[in-house]
Amino acid sequence: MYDLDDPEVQQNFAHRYIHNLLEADEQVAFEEYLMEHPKLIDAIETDKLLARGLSLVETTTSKQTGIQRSSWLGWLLAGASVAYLSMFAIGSLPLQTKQLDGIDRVVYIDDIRSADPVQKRILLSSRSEKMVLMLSTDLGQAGPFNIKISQLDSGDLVAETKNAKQTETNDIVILLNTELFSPGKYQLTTKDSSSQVQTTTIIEFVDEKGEQ
Amino acid sequence: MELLHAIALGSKDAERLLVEKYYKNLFFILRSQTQDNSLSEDICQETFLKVIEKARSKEIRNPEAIGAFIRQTGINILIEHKRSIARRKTYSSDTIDQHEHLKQSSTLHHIHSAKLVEITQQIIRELPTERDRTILHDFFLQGIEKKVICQQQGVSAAHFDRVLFRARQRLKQALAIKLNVPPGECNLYHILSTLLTYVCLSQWMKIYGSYSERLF
Repeated sequence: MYDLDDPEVQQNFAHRYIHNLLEADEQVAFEEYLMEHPKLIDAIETDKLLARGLSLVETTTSKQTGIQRSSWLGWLLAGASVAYLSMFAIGSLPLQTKQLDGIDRVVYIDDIRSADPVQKRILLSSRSEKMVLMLSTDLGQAGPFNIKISQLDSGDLVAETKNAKQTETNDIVILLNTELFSPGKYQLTTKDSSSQVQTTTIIEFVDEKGEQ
Repeated sequence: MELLHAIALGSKDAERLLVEKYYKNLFFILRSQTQDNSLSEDICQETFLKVIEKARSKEIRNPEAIGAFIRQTGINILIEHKRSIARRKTYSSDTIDQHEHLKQSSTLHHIHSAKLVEITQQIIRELPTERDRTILHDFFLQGIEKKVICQQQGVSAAHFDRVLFRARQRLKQALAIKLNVPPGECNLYHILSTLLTYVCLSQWMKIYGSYSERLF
């Protein structure tokens, strides 16, 4: 029915498979083909990885080159077919997506999948900053996620969000205002609603002198 | 198919070979649909138990389409799982613990965001023109189809293929270096799936072994 041995057809199907654009019968045919052609899986994995890398680079580059928020958010929206970003506010601060007037920093936290708490040090500048936390989650975590940030010593809840979704590249995007935090350690807890798996990461905010 | 014939004759090696040949492929398909490693692994295991039982009793009618049969069995189990999941309120913590090591070892988790950014930036820097960068962006991020991009950018299909080929090759090379794999074995599927396969098969054989003991 489909000539999947034809490289052009194969590439077209692989591309649409990644972007969930195949019709039902096409998907069946393609997956049956994949069962017998594991090397094609390599190509698909490579493309997924490239998409993830490009998505991350765009985020970083937007900050570095001072692209205005309209472009940044435009990219987020335009990239929705690939990277379904769930932008949300934490706490009661006015951090709705539409209210962003520029992102000051992007902080990657890769280790929330780890069973062991890890520390991530984040420098607090003297002025208020809008910060994006990119949390890399495990592929096995389907979400949505409930996320809490609380002071480590007192346990006081600083920020909370529910039903956060992953991007297609398995990142959770959190927008924060650094006004929420003072120097010290905070516990970031991520709970996967589907699997009930909970991970905890320790974040340490330090002031510009590097002291708590 | 010889494997099925051998399984019907009681060959354990043939059963193992069948799993080795199709496990990763089925796992990839299930994971694409579920985004859940543990669930995909569970369904893979259940699928192969069913398939091997049917192979032993010669119930597989079209041996030539064994791959399609395995996939359909897996999809059916997944559908049944989705139907029943509403009735299941919680996962047992034992199940999560049992597969924790698989989660940690699976494919793309090894590539941290910061490193991936570094590699991708290098790939982008090596592209000779802004147009080529746009091609990558439109194809991978926007999901625009090849023929549309070629038309928009005024490039030939061959040029488009060349840009993608180079980007993919550079990514594989960079990953191979990062993961310390010899250049001759620079195959992403090989690199990323070797460990996963080992863990999956070990896990499956362990479970299958205990299952067989109970069965016989």
